Amino acid sequence: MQLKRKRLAAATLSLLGAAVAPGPASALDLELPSEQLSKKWEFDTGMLVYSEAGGRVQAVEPVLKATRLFGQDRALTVKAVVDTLTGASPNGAAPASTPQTFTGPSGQGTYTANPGEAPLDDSFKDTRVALSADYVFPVSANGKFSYGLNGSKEYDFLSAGANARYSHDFNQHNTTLSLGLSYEADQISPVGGAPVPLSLMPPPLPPPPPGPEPEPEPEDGEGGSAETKGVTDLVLGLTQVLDPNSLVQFNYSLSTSSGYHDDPYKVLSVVGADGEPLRYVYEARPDARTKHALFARYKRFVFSSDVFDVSYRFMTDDWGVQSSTVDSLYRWNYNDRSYLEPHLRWYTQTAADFYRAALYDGEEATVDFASADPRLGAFSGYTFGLKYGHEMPSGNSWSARLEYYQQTGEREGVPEQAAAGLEKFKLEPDLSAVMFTVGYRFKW
Amino acid sequence: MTRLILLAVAVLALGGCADLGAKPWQRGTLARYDMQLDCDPVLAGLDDHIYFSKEASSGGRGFGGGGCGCN
Amino acid sequence: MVKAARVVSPAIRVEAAPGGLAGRFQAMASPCEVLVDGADGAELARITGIVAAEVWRIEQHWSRYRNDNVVHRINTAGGRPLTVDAETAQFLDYAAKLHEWSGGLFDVTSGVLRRAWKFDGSDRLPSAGQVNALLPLVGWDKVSWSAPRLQMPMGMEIDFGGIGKEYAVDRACALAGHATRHAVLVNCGGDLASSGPRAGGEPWQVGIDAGGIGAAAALVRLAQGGVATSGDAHRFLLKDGVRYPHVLDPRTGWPVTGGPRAITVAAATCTEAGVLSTVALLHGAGAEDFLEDAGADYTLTW
Repeated sequence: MQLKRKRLAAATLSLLGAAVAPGPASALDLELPSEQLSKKWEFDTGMLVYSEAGGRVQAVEPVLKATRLFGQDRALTVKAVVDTLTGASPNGAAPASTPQTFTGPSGQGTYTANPGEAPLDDSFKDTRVALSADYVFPVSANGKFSYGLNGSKEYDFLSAGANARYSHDFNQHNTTLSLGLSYEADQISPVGGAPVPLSLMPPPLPPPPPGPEPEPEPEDGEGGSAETKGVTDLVLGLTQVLDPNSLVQFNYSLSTSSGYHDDPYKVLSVVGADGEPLRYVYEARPDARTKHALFARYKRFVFSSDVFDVSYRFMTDDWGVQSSTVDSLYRWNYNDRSYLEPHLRWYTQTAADFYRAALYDGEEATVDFASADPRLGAFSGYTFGLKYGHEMPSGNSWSARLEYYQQTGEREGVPEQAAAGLEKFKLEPDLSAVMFTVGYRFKW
Repeated sequence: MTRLILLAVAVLALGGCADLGAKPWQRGTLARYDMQLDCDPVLAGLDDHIYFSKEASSGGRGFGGGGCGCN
Repeated sequence: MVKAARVVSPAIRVEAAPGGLAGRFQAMASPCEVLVDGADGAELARITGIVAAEVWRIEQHWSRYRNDNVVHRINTAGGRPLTVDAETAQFLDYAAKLHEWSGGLFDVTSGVLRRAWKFDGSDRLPSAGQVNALLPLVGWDKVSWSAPRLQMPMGMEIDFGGIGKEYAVDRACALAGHATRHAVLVNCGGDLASSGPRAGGEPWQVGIDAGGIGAAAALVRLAQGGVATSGDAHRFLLKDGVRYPHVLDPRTGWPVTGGPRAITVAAATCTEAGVLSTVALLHGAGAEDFLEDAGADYTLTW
């Protein structure tokens, strides 16, 4: 019966060892015999289907996350994301009174915008794969450390990064302070090479004469030059339990990046006084950016069954963008195993200093930076959504969520000299998208 | 800028309250899965990626979104 | 003889004891004492403070007499599921393993049987009907437990008292052991744990009251590890010459008769010793065979 006694001793040490801080030369690091460990793996899977109105971006994004639990609060997590994008995206040019034709970045295929429409580049189809791994472990009764690596690849983009985080509990685990650092190196290899900022976009190529197939342009970044960018992030966090039913979290984030920030495929229209395009130039952004963000979040258990969650984030950077985000959700646990969760998010941002809806003839020689990327414009966004979740008797659970996201742009960055001429066009960036997500979580 | 200062003051004020919290035997509700700050991380990650691609902001909850070519 | 006593806090005293000084406080309805090998009064007071804080913390965490802790939420859940904190989850995982290991004898849901059984030394036994009415509310296999989610039928309760004292002693002793370079011994009413052997190599010597009324106190010599005692010295019923100890078999709802009056076990930890002594007592007449099979280090008092 010695084996039976050993099982008792091992189980007891696991109970006491898991609760007490590991000391020097401690006998409390005993690994239990495998038949006594409960399920060691946790899988969290999901899939997003994203669809913008007006034939714009469509994306399908499956995610797989697996966590392997070791004893004593140690865990290894690996995550894989595949992102397939299709559809059209604004190329930065402003609408005009006559049709506008552009050549795609690969030099093959053209697209045309109808009068009065903002041109949409539909030639991009992209698949991105991202992988990450993180390991977390306790360093004392109150401290936890984690480090991780991540990388991603698209046909014209490669990135690799590392991160580390330390958190420490005080006041009987009621207060937690944490510090996180991460670094990421990006390599951008635009198709056809990175264009010179503010240089002329060549006019669309004439259709090739019938005859032998011309040599295909390189589809990936091999033919062109590669640009790089480095991003360093720092996050300082404080979590405080307020009472047995609520807690609050504060984060300060600092992000500095330097290197190539331009979008190599985006252009600006250079217009005359009448607002019609004379030529197009590639955009130019600064080669450095510093962002500060302050975040506060409050979670409360209400009516003895539901959870209310609200957060606010304020961001400001040295490109002139300032934004506020309010995000709130209410989890209504209407029975033991199911819940409904309405979600509301409101977002507003100011335009970057160098955001221009279009440039006036000649400005392309005098401005340092200019971009018509709608993401840098001034706009407000609303998200409305509803999520349903269900937990099965096995302990596994699934969820489904349907959301609607609408961005409403503000007219900004219009050159004065062409203001009258551009009056007739809708320059403000607008966007609306439907997002559907499903998720499934299980242990093994 | 004022907003930054107000939030920073709120954080510092909170740090001084050492008797806020729950006693160890009162932590049952806080242990609930839906009371965790990282409840549903896969969904949070997907959301972060969407908003990072369509807006000029990032970060807040954790590290700023990275690992994608969307500036 | 005047005992030199030093009051550390209203509840903690440092007093003279055989062999030196001892820090004393009351917890879990038992007198508790802390010995620190080779330490002076100030160090002993500090370590006793650490031990008492941890024992009281666990006592409040799992007391069934409070209405603001996890035990209250569990016992008033009314059949609904709830989530428990990490420490309670660890304990329930352990309870699940012990239930299987002991063939169903160790069962943290057996506490409801106290509604039928009042061990006051009298001869008033409950009726079979009273006990049978409670049996549907006893049985760990009726509990749905998957950390951190607990759900059990309405009316069932979880009782942490079975090895709660031994667990508290082990935890408090380990914390004290990390707080000083001296070896520490914690003794709560006969449940002991030591953080290590004494510096000079002599064993810890502790007297524990393991016998019945009038029996001499047993002397335990402990090099390191833990000791626990299970017995019916103070809580029992006596009818027609048969002694009914307060340890109830959860499968039948009745005490196991014919066994030893007290069992003392030494093991690597007080908790492990407590499990062995409790389960041995539930074997009744077969207690000795069980302890032999388990290779335990024990003494019996018949």
